[in-house]
Amino acid sequence: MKTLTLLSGIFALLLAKPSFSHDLTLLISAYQHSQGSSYISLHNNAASFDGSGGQALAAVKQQLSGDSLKLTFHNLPSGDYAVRIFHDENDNRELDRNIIGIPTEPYGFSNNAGAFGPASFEDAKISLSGDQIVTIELR
Amino acid sequence: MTKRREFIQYAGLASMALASPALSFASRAERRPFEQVPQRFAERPMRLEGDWPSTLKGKLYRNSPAMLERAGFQHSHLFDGDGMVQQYTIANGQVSHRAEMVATEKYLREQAAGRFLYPGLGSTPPQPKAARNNDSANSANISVRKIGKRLFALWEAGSAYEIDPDSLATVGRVDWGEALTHLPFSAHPTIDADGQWWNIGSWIYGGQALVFIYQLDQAGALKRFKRLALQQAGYMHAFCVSQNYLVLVNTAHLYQHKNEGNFFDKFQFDQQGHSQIVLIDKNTLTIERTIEIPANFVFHFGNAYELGNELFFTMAEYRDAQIMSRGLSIKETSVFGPNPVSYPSELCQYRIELNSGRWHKSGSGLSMEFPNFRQTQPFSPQALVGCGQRLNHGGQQRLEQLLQINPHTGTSDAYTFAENVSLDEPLYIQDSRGEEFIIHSFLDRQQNESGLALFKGADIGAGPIAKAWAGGVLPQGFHGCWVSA
Repeated sequence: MKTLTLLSGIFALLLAKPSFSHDLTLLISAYQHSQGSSYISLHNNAASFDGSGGQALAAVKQQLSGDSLKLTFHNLPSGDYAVRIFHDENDNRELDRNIIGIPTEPYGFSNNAGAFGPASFEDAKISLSGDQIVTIELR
Repeated sequence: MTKRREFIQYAGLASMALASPALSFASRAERRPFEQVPQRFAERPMRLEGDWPSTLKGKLYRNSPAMLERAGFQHSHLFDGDGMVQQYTIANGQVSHRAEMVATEKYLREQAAGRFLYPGLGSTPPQPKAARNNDSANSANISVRKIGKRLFALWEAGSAYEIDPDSLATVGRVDWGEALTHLPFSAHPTIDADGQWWNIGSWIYGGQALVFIYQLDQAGALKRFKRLALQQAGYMHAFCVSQNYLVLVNTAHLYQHKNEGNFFDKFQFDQQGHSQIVLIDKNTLTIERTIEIPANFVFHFGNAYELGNELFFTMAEYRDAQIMSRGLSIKETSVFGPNPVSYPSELCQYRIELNSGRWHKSGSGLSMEFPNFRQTQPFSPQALVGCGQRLNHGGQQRLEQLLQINPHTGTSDAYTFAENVSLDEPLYIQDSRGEEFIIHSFLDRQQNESGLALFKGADIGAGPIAKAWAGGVLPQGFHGCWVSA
């Protein structure tokens, strides 16, 4: 299991408000093998989460060395966040899909949200008001 | 059975079977077809009755949604049982049976977890996991077909699984191409006159109404593929093929997305709407015509053929979709229950004027399901064979029939089984001399025993010429195929 520390682009802002800074730790499991990479993105709004607009708050690519991954986002202000993950098994930098858009590589969302297909920000959001550890199981 | 011939051939096999340690039917004497099903049936001879022709050599494969129970939870809809391929081997006048579960990705994950993990189509286990895609719930449980040398266990909402035809070991999930991974491949691939095969896949989710067309060569390799948009998101289970067309019926059982409920709860039968006959040109793989007909529901078709400028095809037609929502549960409303409920479908022939698209329908007045035709003559008017039923005593007693109907001539023949006998899909088969027979499995609920029945194709009214008994209850199922040795 690997630990990754992220200094997001909002780090400087967060330093100004240390009392509102929290850590969000992800424990990601169910990697079927360690080939390829994992892409993890952190979002604080629905538009960036569902891809309709805006940028992820943070995004990271992580090499795998086992069947799970531990990752911490530091210095986040209180608020709602959601996480998207996919396992890029063939290292082509994208989530592979078939001709109708159904993913053919493993993926997951915070709260393990969504029964079938993409989760909504509303279902995947984590309301962060302190340090928090969440577990995500890849589908 | 009403015309039972009482010459029973044990041929020394019954005693061998009883001695087999691999499977003790005695302990399951009261077991119902979908309860406490073992995960494999080791090969064992069947007890014979009548005359199994020595010229009849081959294997009957059948797929059954056998495994509906895990960790104290029982799925309530037959479509949710994990597939088991049964193999009946007939040679030298003897019959044996064995069966193996299809080792789908779903089955293997759930085996490891010791419980059902994924939502089914008609029922959902406790604490279900999210599905990565449609194949997460693929139970490969509807049919089994041999294409070339390849044997496929088939679902309808996801990939085919390839099975070793001898050992029944699962080879793996079939990808027809990188971009086609996980696309639906129906349980009813249909043979063309030249030995090539056609299949469809239906995708009616996410606001889409699509059908995928697959053309396979004689060896089972993908030759052509096409994605077509349809006008409504209706349930489609099968189709038929004529000389120039693929014929689809896009039923009025419409999918409408809802967050709550099981998958089948998201379908609504639109009684005031229409079903649509869709004619797809086999050469161009384009939709040539869409013809509205009154709302109906259909799983299965007979053959299709063109005579002059007219296209004929038959279907086992339902007035609504209650067979899907209620009839295939394993509750008291089921056609497979201890007191089976009847959801009669009428075998109807449709005639389409190809120039104008005008259509005409002729009802047979006879209830038939699982219609089958001679695979060697797909485009000929012919007698279909299927499961019929006759109601006695004011409709209180349902007797099942092996039924043969020629929709073109209107003639029919039938053999009526005794009360408490349930038939599975019958198939036309041939022996090494070209003589035609009809074979099907059945369950005798009175004596709690499954079996095979063999009829002469030319005289089903005379009753079965031979039967083979399993010594216990086997899972009932949907579809199968015969492979001559």
